[in-house]
Formats: sequence, structure tokens, C-alpha cells
Amino acid sequence: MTKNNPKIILEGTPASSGKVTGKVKILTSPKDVKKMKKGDVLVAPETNPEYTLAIIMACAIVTERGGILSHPAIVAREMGIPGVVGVKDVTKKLKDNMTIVVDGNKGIIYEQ
Amino acid sequence: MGIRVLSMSNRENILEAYKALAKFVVFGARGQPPIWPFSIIETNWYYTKFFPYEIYHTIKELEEKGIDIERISKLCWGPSAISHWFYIIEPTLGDPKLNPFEGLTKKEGREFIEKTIELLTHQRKGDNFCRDMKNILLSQDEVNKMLGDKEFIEMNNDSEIKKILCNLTMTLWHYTILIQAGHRAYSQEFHGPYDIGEGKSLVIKEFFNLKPGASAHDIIWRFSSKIPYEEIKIFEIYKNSQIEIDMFNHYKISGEMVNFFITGDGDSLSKKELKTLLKVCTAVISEGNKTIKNFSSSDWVEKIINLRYLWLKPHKDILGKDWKPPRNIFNLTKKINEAKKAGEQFEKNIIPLVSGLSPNEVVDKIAQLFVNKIF
Repeated sequence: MTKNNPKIILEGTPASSGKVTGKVKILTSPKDVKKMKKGDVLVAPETNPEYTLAIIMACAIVTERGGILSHPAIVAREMGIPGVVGVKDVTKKLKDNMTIVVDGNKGIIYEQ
Repeated sequence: MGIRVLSMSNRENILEAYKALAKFVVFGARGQPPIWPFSIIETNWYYTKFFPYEIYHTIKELEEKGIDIERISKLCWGPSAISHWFYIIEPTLGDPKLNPFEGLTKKEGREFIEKTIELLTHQRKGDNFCRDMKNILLSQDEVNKMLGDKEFIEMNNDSEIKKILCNLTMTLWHYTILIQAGHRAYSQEFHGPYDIGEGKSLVIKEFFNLKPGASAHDIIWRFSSKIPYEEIKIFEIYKNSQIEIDMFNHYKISGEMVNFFITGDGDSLSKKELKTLLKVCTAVISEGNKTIKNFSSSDWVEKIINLRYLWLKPHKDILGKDWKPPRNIFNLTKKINEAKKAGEQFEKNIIPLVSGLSPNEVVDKIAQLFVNKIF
């Protein structure tokens, strides 16, 4: 796979613009927050207050639930980081530490 | 300014309110309600059991005491909290046998919704339901007066201050979700955009009621007393921007922020004070998260009941009554499975009702379903 033709892994609703590359950290429960390192991609069913510290470290947010006005979408825009929401089964289809490209403009997750 | 609804019939008013709500459900949330601390449908299932009844009778008693509706409205924090009362009817789609306004007759239920619209009319200076995606609470004169005495901080591509500001807003956003058990509208109101000339727009992000219960007899959230202010306001000026705010305060802002200004309980905060505030807020939310770590569903239901009754404290104070919920209301903690079922059934029931319809037809259909429950 070349950089000019990256493989699309998943698609969702574009929620916050920007494009970044980062390592996936799947946070299905608040106790997973400690997995996050600065610059990781936060992948979760939905964001909530228990993810606050993880969001501060995230370079992008990808969630299973929600639309353009949902909480994770608003939070990603507020933080100025790319966000894609409503990505079906994202917490099952991605794996921890995979490197992905999150395109918040198009709502696409690419394999790096 | 904006679209007013006063001249419409009550039924038309109510239908317009529910169309605005349905539009958010269909386009904004894609039919997926928030699920923290549990599904919003479940939360609203509990609300139907006590909240409309309590609000309806409290307002009635205040009016009988000679308090006018404008003053009552001013006691109601912000309009996005009031707007959320329209949602109370939502779980009836998951539990068709549910009375959306338990304890009230159908006529009283209708009056409750009409009163909700009337209260909004006294708070929003633009469209009551923000159909133009503007949440206008201040007149142009009020905006001009307010801007006159503020010394705004220039952004000047200062990446450090930009980071502090977005982290602070996000942390406060989550903090209000936490302390209001999912219903942040009871502690925040984002309003604007206000046109201030030269292609610039003002947005005001208000966070209030930040220590719920701290002034009451028992402290609902002990950690909240560590937040240094009861109210934090962020004033942001954007240039060449596109700003949208809906009736529930979901917002989209694109454009360049050029200036901002922050107050804590009315006093302006310096860059240094903002850094300290962010540290404190981050520590408090961490403590809050530890507090709720082992919360059961029934702990949350109890908290929701207490918080919603506390919301009526300003009204109850005028009536000389205690704000605390009656003990029998806490029996709701035994009905967790019923509420859960309504939440699970909601999405299952709604899909066959709207499948094959265009998005606009879905909005109309959902709005009509809600209105049919009232009339």
C-alpha cells in the first residue's frame, strides 16, 4: 500500500476537521484511560467525563456512536483535533497500537 | 430579531418545538441518544415520574402567589435546560403505555408544555427553538454595554493560551455533564452568535451552578466545593466565522478566534489565573471520576432525583418550601429494569416507524408522534 493510495479501513461521519496519524488506543471503559499516551488516537464507544484526561492527550477522537452535534463531535472541535463519529463497530475492528490516519474532513480512517 | 412563535396557536407552537427537537435527533445525533451515565431515554423515563408534576405545581403555586411568569423564567437558569423538558416525552416511544406526565391529566400535561414554551419566550430574544441555529439571549444594547467594559485578551497565534482555553472549555463541558448526571444544560448555556461589526461575532459560553448543593443542607457533590467559582463565563470573538448553536446548546464553530475574555464570579481572569484554574478543574474532575467509579445504576437514579429537585430550589425558596424530594420518589430505584427496557425498546420501535421515509419526513413523523401524545 503506497502513501498515495492508502487503504480505507472504516468510514463514519466527519465531525471535526484535520488529518493526523497516530496509534490507536481503544478505551471501552474508563479504566482503560491509563493506556493513553500523548499523541494517541482515542477510540471509544462514546466520550464522557471519565475520558477527560484521555482527551487532553489525544491527537484525534473516533467514536462508534453519535452524529455531527454529539458530545464527542463537539469535544473534538473544541480541542481543535480531527474527529470521526458514528463509526460502526470501530472498537472491535481496530486494535490497540495500530497506526492509522484519521481524516476528520472526510470521516475516513485509513491504514498507515 | 429571529422568528417568534407567540402569534401561533398552542398546537402549532408545540409542533414547531417538537420538529426542532426531532431535527436534532435525526440529523445531529443520528438517532443515537447519549448513553452516559446511562441512556438518556432511561433518564427521561424517570423524569416522567416526577419532574413535570413537580414543575407544573411549583409554577402554579408561584403564579397563585402573584409571581409573574417572567420572574419565574428568570429563576430557571438557562433556556437550554428548559428546552430539555420537551425531551421528557421521548421514552413513550420505547414504552407506549408510559404516561409522559405522570400525576398530571392530559390537559395539565399540555399546559406543562405550553408553559415550557412561555418560559422560553422570556429568555430567548431570538427564535424560541433556535431554528436559525442562533441562541440569542441578549439585545444588541446589552451586548454593546457588556463589550464596553471588557479588556479582551488577543489570541495573536499564542498556541499556549489557545491550548489552555480549549482544555478549560472541554474540562468544564465534561465537569457539567458529570455534576448534572448527563444533563449539562442545568449548568451551562452557550449563546450567540452576536454580530459586533467588522465581520466579527461574539459567542458567550456560560458555566454556572458549578457547586450544586454546596449551599444547601447537604452537599450533593462534595468535590464540587473545590471549584473556585460558582460561575465561569468565556467570551470569545471570532472573525469570518460560521457559528451554529441549537436549542440544546450543541454547537459548531468554524473560523478564527481573535480575542477572548474570561470571568470567574464576575472578576476577569489573567492568563496566569487561567492556568491555575485549568489545573484545579482537572484535579476536581479526576476526583469526581473517582467518586463515581463504583456508582451503581440506583446511585445514579438517586443523584438524578436529588439534582432535579435541587434545580427547583430557587422557586421553592420563594414559596418557603424545602427543595428536597419526598422519600417515596426514591422508590424509583427499584424500577431500573423497566427504565432500561424502555431505553432498549426506543431504537427498536422507532426504526420501523420511520424506515423508507426521507430525513425531512422522519422529522415530521417523529414530531407528530410526540404531539399526538399530548393532544
